Amino acid sequence: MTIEQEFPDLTQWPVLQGALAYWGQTLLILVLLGLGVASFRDIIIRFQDTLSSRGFMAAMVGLPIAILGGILGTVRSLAVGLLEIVALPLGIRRVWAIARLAIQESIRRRVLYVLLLFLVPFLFAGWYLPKAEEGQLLYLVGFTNTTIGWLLLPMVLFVVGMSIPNDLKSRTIQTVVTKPIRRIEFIVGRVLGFMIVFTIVILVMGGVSLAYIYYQVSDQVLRDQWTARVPVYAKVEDPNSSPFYFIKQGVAGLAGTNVGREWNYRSHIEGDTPDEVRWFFTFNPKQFAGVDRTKVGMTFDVFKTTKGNPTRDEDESSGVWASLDFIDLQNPQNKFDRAFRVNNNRLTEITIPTSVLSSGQVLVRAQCVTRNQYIGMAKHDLFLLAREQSFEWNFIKGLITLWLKMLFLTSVAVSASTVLNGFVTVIFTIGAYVVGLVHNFLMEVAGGKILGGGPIESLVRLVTQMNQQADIEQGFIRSVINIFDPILTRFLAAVGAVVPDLSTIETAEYVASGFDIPSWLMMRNALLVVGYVIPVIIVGYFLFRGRETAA
Amino acid sequence: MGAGEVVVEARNLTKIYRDFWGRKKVEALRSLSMTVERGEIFGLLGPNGSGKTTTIKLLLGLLFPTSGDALVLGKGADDVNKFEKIGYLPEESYLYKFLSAEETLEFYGRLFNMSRAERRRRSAALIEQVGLNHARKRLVKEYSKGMARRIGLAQALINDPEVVFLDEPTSGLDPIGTREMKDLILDLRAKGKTIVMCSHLLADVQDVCDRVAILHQGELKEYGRVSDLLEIQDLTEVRARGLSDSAKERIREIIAGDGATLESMGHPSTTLEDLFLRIVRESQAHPGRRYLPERSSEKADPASVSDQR
Amino acid sequence: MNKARRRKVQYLVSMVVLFTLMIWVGRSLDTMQRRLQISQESLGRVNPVSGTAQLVLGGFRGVAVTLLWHQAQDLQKQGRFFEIEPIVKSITLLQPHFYSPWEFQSWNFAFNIAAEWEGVRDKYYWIEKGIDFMKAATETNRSKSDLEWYVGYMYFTRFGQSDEKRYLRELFRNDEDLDFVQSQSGVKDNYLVAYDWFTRANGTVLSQNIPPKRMAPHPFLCRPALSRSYYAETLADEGSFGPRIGEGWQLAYRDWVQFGLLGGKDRSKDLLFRLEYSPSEMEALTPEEKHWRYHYNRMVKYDHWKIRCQTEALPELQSAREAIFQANKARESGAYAKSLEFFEKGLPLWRGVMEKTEEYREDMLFKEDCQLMEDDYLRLLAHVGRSTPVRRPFDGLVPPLRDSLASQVQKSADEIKDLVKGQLEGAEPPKAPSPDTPAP
Repeated sequence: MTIEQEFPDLTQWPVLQGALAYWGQTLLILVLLGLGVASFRDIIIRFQDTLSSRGFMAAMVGLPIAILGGILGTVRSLAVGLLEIVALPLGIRRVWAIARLAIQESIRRRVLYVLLLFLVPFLFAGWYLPKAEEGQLLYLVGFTNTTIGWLLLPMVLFVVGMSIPNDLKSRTIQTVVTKPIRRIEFIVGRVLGFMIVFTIVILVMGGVSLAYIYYQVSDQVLRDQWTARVPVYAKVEDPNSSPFYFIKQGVAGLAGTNVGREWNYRSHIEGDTPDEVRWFFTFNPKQFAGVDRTKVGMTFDVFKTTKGNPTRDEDESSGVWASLDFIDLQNPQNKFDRAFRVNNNRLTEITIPTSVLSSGQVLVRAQCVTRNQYIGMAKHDLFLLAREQSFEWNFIKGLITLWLKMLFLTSVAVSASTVLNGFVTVIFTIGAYVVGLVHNFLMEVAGGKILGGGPIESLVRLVTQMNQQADIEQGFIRSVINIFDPILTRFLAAVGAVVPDLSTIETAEYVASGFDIPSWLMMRNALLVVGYVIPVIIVGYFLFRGRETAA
Repeated sequence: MGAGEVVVEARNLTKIYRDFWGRKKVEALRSLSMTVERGEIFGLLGPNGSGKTTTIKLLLGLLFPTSGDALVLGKGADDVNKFEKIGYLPEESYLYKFLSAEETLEFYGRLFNMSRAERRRRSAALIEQVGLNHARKRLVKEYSKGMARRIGLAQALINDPEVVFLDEPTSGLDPIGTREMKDLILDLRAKGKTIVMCSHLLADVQDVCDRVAILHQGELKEYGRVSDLLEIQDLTEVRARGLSDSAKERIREIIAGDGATLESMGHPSTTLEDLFLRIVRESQAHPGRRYLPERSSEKADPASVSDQR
Repeated sequence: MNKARRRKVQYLVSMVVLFTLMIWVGRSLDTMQRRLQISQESLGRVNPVSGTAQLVLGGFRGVAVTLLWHQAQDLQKQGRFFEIEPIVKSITLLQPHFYSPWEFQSWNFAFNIAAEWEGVRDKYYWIEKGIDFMKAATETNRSKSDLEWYVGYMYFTRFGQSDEKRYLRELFRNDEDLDFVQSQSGVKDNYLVAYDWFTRANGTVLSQNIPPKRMAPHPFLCRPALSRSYYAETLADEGSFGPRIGEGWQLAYRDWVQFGLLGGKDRSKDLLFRLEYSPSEMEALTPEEKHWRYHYNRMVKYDHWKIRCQTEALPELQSAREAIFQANKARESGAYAKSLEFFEKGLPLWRGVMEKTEEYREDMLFKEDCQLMEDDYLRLLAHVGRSTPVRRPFDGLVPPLRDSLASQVQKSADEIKDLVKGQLEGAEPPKAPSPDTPAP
């Protein structure tokens, strides 16, 4: 299990407070921006009206009045809107009425038949199942998550995206909005109703998946991997120091030797030298109390500069060896060390006496023993195993991530469908989703970090099969690129700024590798999506309020 | 009814449809001003596309006026609270087809924040009233047009509204249904409700409406009490049964002796229809002008010449 | 009404015409596929999953494969080797008739990923994975000689030629997975399994009469004979003497001759140039034919292998080899007297063979073997303080090792001198002698 990106621990109140404050600021800016845009539109319309009815002079004279009127009108409208949003809890019965309607619609329109469709891929899944124990769980969890995700996606898009446009088209909306229902209640009700349906669908699909996985995997997997480890990672209280560093030729640093691996997640130390890696652990020792021995898990990379000793596995002298020292920082006499053969890129568990951990402050030093070979390590490559959660509960936590994705899609689709027609809504939502998934790449393109230049330059290179490094000659094409690529990359940057990075909320890998999804990640994901969905719904509400519901 | 409380008011109501670029496309309603008083049945008349449905939709906030105000119970377009006391039956019953009659009323009841007991009571009473008791569990999509119309009416009345807007209430109904609808409308008035309806079926309007506004091409052409509008002072209509030929001859003579002319004798035509057709013809001949009938007693009304530019 | 009816009739007629056309086109495509052997069934085993997956993805198959390929590459970069296999499997299910993914990934497993491990058992695991993958490729792509050849080649090289071959071959012998390790002759040996696959590939090439794509016909087709030869040689190297070795060499000889008789003399028409001729036939060859005979013979060392097989099949040479093997073993364990005893038993036998086979004696490798053996013996004598015999064991047959080493050193020094001189004078350096095709 590799953790490439760490997020602040939002389960801590001060961190959460900061995040919420930042979110509030952003929301305020959004409101002001919306105010500006809406006023501008209003002013233009007022100006145009006078222009067409009374002529240019009158329009120019009336311009200040138009501006004032526009701003005042918009502010008033905004104030009314905000009041309605605040008053949302009062209309909970109406919200529930709309939610119920969405549920009834889903059921009566046979949307739940998708559950049957869901069973079809399971007929084939067993064909691909890897024989090796190692890949099974990973494959199955990946498979079920992907299947649920990809089956729900079209369901969300078409059921949700088409819903309000259908109401408008069949004019049923006219009998609804002429009741004392606020538009915000209407939108929230829709989102709520659909999410209830999707929750049921996800739960059913998840349950079937879990049972399927359980009966597919071999007994050995059930014995060894059917778990969710809760690791304690290296940590220090002082935010200015690192809990993990290398000592290379007597100098401490955040990286060891670069052996030239493409993936620079791990850094290496050379064997049979004084170079070492240190992890500092600060933790509550109570979580290890009550047992004599505690498991320590690790995943190290092996980089070989010689072929090594080609003898048998059983031969103690073969393989790359590492030594680990556990030292109690409160009482340096209390220590434990052990040498072991490094299992290349695979999780290895050893046990240490729990007494070493008694003070809650432990230093772990690792060295490579084998001459001419290197081992690579990263901060999260070594952990103390605090306890193990049940795999099932972890699986459900994984489903929550999926649920959050669906919430994102549903909100975007509902909000978009207040102004767009059904088909355009579907396209728009797919677009937002895809941008969310390839967010990283998009921002790299926008930031000019990708070889081959911006969109047009890349297209030219693609079509002419030109090398990414080669210069494009001065001339017409070069000028076109120079003019339009900056505009397009800026546009991409803007799009990227509006859509959240959905690739970072992925948690299936934790489940598959048998690691408990950390609470800070769950919290961060939930806040990311909910914090995004709220403004999306508010924007949808204002758009909907500004929309005539009859042709 | 006279100078009753004004419950619905349109002030210089104008609706212009724009295209994507904000350019004028259609002027659906031009400077309409009118009032409806509490307890009356008000009819909006006009041929298709005259702006009567637009007026209702503006009053209900389904459309936003380009200029002017549309007030119901003194409240403007973006005040949702007014809907507590409004009922609306759209042109066709736009209902959720996947709900049954009971569920439909249940749903709309919830929108009025009604308690469960009240919802039950109201919906049971209304289903009974519109005569759908036998089909209360059936889905709306299985309903005939007349049944759908009735459940539509029931949802309009779920909140026991003060003002009821009816868009073509009798369209799609058979003669018996039409009669029942008219009776119901009169019944509502008897209960003190205000009704605003629009229709192009003149006979219906004539039967039930207290006052009408006649629209053509987005302009108000005639406005007033139905009895006043249709009363032609210098015209006398004679109706009798079992009149002999000699008696008829004598009547002719009397009329001739009085210096008057006998224009016709026989079954009278629907005079609102006459009026309506005249207005339309006149309006097409002189677009943009208020219809001025050859009447001696022109009543002063608030909407008289407001659109003369 | 009439118009509408006419339109309906028009639609009907065009539907019938189009359907007829479609059926006709479909039929002709079908027969064309059959003729060119490019229909799904004639390409190889049809996998229902593969078919379904292809159908579901439709035009997005290529996109999906590209994404999967990237994913596999990323996983490999991250060292997550065990997760690659399912992805690669999906790729081959989506595009079962593209060779490159099969080839690339099976080599990737058997060579690149296997090399990331130190332990022999781990290496063995990945080699097996790579070979199984290539085998799956041959099932999905019927009658593709290249793929069949590669299976044989991986058995041959990966187990038989690597540094860890001794351990790998032992694991191979003890492997319980008979599908993987057992040859058709019933023996669990990588060279013999390789022999089966090479033979199968040869059969494909010969029956189709199309030269293999990736390689010249001679080195391709000589592989079964080569596998048998290596089998016999390796047995002797490992010290498992017995009648199997002699039989192995005899069979290898038969295979070589069989290989030599393939093809003909017309290079424009025949699949490969024939190498085996009777003396009279050899005489009758035109100079150009002689040139090609020489060329191709050198390419696969045909004559060398033939002589070698014949010679090594002699029982006295095998006895000699066994004695020398025992001698070396005893010498390594310090039992010098016993070692000398074995040497003195083996060397005369060896000499006897050398005297009998003049041709083989001139073979470079054999010569070197002899020199090394002789040198070991002589040094051991000196070590235990015994006097060297008056006559060297191989006196008159091969020069002593020291002499040839000295002459080689001298030769290299001369070459360097020439090179330096040439560069100093600014002249073209002497052309390096064209490297011999290394013995396969």
